[in-house]
Amino acid sequence: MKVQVRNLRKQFGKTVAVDNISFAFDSGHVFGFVGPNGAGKTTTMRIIATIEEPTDGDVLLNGISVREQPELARKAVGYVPDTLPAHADITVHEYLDFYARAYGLRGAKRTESVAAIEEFTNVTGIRDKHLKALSKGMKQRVSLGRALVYDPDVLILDEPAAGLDPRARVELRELLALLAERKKAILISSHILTELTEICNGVVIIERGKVLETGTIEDVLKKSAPRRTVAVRLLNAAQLPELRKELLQTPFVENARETGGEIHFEISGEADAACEILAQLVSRRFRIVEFRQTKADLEDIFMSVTKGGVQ
Amino acid sequence: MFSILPNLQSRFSRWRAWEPNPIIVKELRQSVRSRFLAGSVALLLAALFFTSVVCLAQSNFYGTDLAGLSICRDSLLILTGASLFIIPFHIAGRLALERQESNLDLIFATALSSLQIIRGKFLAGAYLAVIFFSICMPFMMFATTLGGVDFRAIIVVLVSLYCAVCFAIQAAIFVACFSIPWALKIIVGFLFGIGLLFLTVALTVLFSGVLIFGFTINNGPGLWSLISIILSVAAVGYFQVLSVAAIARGGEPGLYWEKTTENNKADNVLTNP
Repeated sequence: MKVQVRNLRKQFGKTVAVDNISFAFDSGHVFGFVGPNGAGKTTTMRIIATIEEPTDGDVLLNGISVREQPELARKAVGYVPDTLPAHADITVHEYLDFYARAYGLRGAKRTESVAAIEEFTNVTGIRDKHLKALSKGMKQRVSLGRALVYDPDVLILDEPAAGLDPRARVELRELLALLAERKKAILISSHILTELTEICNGVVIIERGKVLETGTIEDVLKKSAPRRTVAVRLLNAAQLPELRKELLQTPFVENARETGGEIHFEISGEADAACEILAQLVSRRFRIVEFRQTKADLEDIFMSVTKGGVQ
Repeated sequence: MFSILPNLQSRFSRWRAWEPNPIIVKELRQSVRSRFLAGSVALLLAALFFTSVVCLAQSNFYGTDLAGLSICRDSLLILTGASLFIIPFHIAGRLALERQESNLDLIFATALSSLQIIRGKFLAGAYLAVIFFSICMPFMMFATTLGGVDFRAIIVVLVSLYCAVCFAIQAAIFVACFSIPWALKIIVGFLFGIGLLFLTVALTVLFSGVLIFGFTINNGPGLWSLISIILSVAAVGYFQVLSVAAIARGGEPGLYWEKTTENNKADNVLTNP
């Protein structure tokens, strides 16, 4: 299943929520969708889930257009919104059973699917509880179960980790990894970027309705953070000012600074530049305990490419 | 016109694959668990019982003939008010909540068509009305045994009331589907309530008149007997149609599902973890 977002545009009155954005992701991929509040993430996700109609552009799910054939497209999409299920007077099992019926599952197949999803999302123990009586984490699981019960190929998850406790977050991460193994195409939005780095293959960074960066995590990291940051720790901390002075005179080194008993500096050259610098420092008899590259993560990139603007 | 028959034939030939409309299943399950509805039913039963006792107590003074008529009339008044207000408002309230942007709950983003959703909501309301009417039935039957009221009159009045309730449910669904802000919805709901109130008063006056003057036991058989028989048969037929309507075309599988089923999706890892 290939999901292609093509020149998507959504306008609410004079406000342009989504402004001509394009990106694509595939089966087995977990794509992170990040951006500040009001960037247009939820609107884009709602359009992919066929809840909202785009002003312009289109989303193709294996060639099925959400504009032309929304009824067909929505059978391929499972959507977990940022709001939790709020049906009154219904139990977890009845709720999942209803959605299985609504998507055309019948008889024994429906019973099997609902039971499998209850087990998969670990809600078997609370299947007879009322939805309203559930905790936020449990409701989130039920919401995910609802999106999975008819086995869609595409999963759109809007802030699924919001309000979850650490254990539930770890479990959600494991669940997503499992789903990606099962060849689902997953688009997930979250403000917890460190988590996204761990679970996502690709990322779309959006601000004020426009895509700022998109691609695989490695590509985006390489593109948006071309400089390597290196941290050096010495056996004798008294040598740190001398080391900093030495580094500032070294070619390719920039922004050397002392932080928490270490010297951090940036290298603008290739990987072998770091090797040369290390060799040079050893030859100058600095007693180095630790010499490591600190990897830029999604959070660094997000902070560097976005300006925090909303519309 | 000519294509209707083959379509019906093909649909009925697949009757083994029919399943209830998911909305009816959901609504009725929710109704069973709803404290509001359970309370309403208990209240209706209590009101009918209390009214019957009062009417019987008064019959010591006025005679049993009048007791039968007054039980029937008062029970009908209570049933008219309860079924014309509670059921349409219950159905419309749920629909309006589900249609709220903030509480989308995704019913409208499922594979169900709008027609299936509206039909499901209407039929669920129609079934609830049957429950309300069935609560009233024993009291009506009791009234006929006391005398003073004609069985045919009761049938005509109940069938007419049931039609009015179905009309009210349809109107309530129509009103609940308006895509307007909450404040306006409340105003429209209030206006709708006033409309129902007028309908209730009009029907109560009409039915009381029918019960008192139109079908007294001394009138004998005639045109009204025929009408009551036709209405009884129509009512039974209607319930049959309701039952068929509830299951026919419910949860039709979409093209995507059929396509993926062909691709052996039934054996996917989720159903066989």
